Amino acid sequence: MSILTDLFYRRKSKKSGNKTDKELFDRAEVSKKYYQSLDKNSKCLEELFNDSSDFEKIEVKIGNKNGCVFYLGTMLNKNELNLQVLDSLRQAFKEKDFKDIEEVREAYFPVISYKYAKTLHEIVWQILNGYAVLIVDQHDKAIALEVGGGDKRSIEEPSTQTIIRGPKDGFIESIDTNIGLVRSRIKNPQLVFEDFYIGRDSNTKLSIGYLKNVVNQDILDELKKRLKKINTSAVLDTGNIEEFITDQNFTPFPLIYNTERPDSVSGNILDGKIAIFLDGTPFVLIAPTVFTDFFQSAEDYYQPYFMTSFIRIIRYISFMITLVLPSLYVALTTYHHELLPTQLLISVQSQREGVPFPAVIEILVMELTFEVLREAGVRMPRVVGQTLSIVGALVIGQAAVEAGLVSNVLVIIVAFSAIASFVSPIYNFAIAARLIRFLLILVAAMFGLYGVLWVLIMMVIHLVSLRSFGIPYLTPVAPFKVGDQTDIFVRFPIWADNKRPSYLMTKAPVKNEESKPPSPPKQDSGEES
Amino acid sequence: MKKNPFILSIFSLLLLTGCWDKTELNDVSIATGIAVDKGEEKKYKLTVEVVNSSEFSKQGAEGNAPVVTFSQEGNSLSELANKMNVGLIREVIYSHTRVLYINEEVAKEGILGFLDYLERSGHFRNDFNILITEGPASDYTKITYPVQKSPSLKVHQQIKTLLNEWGGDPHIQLTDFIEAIISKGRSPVASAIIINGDPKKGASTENNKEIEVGARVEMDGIAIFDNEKLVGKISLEDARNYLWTQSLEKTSLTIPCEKDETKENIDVRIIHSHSKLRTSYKNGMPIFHVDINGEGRLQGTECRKDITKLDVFLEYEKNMEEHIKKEVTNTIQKVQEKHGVDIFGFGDALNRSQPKKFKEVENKWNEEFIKGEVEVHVDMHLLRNGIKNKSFLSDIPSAEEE
Repeated sequence: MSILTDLFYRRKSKKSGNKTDKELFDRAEVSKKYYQSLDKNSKCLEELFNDSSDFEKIEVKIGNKNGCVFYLGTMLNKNELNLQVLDSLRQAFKEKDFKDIEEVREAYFPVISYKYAKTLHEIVWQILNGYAVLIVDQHDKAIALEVGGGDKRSIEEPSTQTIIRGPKDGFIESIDTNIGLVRSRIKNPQLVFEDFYIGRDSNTKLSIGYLKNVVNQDILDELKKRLKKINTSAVLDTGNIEEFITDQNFTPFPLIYNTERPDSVSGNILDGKIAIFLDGTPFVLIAPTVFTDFFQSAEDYYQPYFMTSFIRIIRYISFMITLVLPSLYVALTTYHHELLPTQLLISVQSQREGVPFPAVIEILVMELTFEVLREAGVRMPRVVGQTLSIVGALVIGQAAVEAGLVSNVLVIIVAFSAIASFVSPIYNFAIAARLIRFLLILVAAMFGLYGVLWVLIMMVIHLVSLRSFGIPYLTPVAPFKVGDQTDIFVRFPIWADNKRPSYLMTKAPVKNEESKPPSPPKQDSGEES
Repeated sequence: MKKNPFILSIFSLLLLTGCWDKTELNDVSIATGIAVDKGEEKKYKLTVEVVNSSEFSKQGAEGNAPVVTFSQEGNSLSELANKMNVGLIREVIYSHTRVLYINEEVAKEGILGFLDYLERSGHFRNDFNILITEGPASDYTKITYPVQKSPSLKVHQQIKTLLNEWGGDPHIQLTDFIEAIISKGRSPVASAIIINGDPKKGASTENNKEIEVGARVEMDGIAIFDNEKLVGKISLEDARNYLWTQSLEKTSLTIPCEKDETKENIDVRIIHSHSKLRTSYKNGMPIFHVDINGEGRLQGTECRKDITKLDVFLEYEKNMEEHIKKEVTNTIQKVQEKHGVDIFGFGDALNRSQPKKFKEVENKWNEEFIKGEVEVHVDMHLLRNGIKNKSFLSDIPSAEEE
């Protein structure tokens, strides 16, 4: 089908990327066409949709002219369609002629939101987006009516980043709802959303949101440039976008933050960062991102700052535990016996008596077993979940030790480092630590502590070399920024943390100059209080 | 493909080396103590005490011997240390050696020969205790104890606790010992231990089943060295008095209430003390000053005096100072007379204050030490009197009054 090819598979044109509504229609030749005759339009549309089973049309009569409503049955609510569109048009054949399509709209759809479509392409596009398009014979444009809704999930508590105190709503798969959730938190006309359409085949809507009077223009331009460069057939999740726009792909560390939480996105937008929404996924990206962001949870700002500071330090420690604890065990028990206190060494040795494997094999087997268990736990049907926990706990926790295959202390180490890996508020950040952990274990088995240190140094060198939209990944620790330390390892009270991160170089570096701690009322103004 | 030379070099590194000094934990035996005796045929007899670690675990303990010892004769410790697998199953690691037992007989002939090995090889940590034993040193590695099954770990902890609680052990470690040997103004000391009981009985787990254990390793004062050679011992009390001069941390004293009267006593717990040694010359004769100051607590009293009164307290303080002064002076004089070596470090003190003067006398320092006069200045403070003010004793009418 040559028209379709021209429309959506622009193989000839090298210039590609994102299509805004307008661009999409400008490019294809056929898009500019619109026939006066309803039959011709109808035939063209049917061809364009390849007689797909969910492409439906209902013929109506408006005055003495024939009309036709086209829509995708799967993209809108048919009850609504009947109620709002078809019901109104029931009596239309009694009317006399309408001068143009505007009059038709005013007469029958005064309250439905609408768009005019002047070309076939526009019509196709609106139908694909879930509009019902009314074409009336002998009129020079069609009208696309927003009937409203395909099915979508209701707003629920996010399943990944759960918190105890704070807003419990989470994003869903509909981009409009998601943007609404953020908009309802930031009631400010400076909050701007810009739309892009990504994917040759999927034409997925992507929206970036930022505060226009705050955001760093250079970062915004760079982000737009990268988004426009995306040339792919389809994107199904922001994870796909992330891989296209990230600064460096060859790294285990995520360079863009993702979250399911509207409050987290709002907070970041207010800090001067940019949120990237994608239709069809509850995960929203936030750029630019630094290393320390992954140790911060939305709840940090809702709990007392003492507690938050303590928890944050725990998170950093947990990260190190995940990273080095197993390799330390290997290094200490195979190379550096003298580093352990005597009693501890004797205790560890007594547990290793009769274990047939070298420490490194022992720990690799157990770590791999854990990874298998974890993966199985994620993928398996919920119904059989209990089986896994029983088998996992029994087989690995107890039976392996009792059979003398692994030592007790090793189970503790594997379990602890595994639990510690889940402390990170962002799941995919822990993956980096888990991967590097295996490298560390191998190196510890070959070189001892020397190797462990060496890999850690290499890791730091790598981390320092990373950038997220041009911002060094380890900012504000390296390069060290004193002013930004108010919200890194410890959190200052909210009234003391009144500056935006300086490394973002936002247009408005200070959030609120006059934020003050609460204080008792002054003596002389006692009446007020 | 463009190859990164840096990454290539890393991978080649991995191929080149690694694992050469790897020893799995269950391929080693942990030595906790070593004992040096005189050999019958060769120079030394080395006894190594290695841990049978499964006896130390909660589940694995079967009541077997917690440690295993093995003795061999040879001409150097280094040779013997690596030859232990003649009788032992696994590679012996010495980094956890907590105690080095040296037989008196060996110590009398000098121990310089093997100290260098201990310091140089890198297989030993330098924080083990050096102990001089009465009788065969190898016996000491075998005396079990119910609470801590490893003989050497028991002694190690015992020494530490004794020093913290009462004093009486100088807690000499390898570096201290070697430093004292090198120094011309100080002679080395080491702790001395004895076995109380029958060594044969002690060398069995059956010993652990007795309430009154058949044999016990006990502290026995200080062994005094002239350079590398053992010249004598002083008692536990003297050892504590020696430690008064070396900033004793804690100890307990029994002091007569009245001056020169021993009928009734007060008990004082010293909680902190600090000492300073000074050496000066007057008319060509050295004078040794020991300044001791510290703080104590009243722990008990037999007297009927009212301790809520300041005068009584000050009197006690004075008695205490007198008592300490007497004890310390006695001990120093005893060492001067009997052993004639400066274990206190008065020479070092002179070296610090008058290096030129010390240069003149450093080669005959021990002779100077013998003829020196001792002056001990004690400044003690009795700070607290426990959780009672007046003693109930002062409420009981005394027999005389009745």
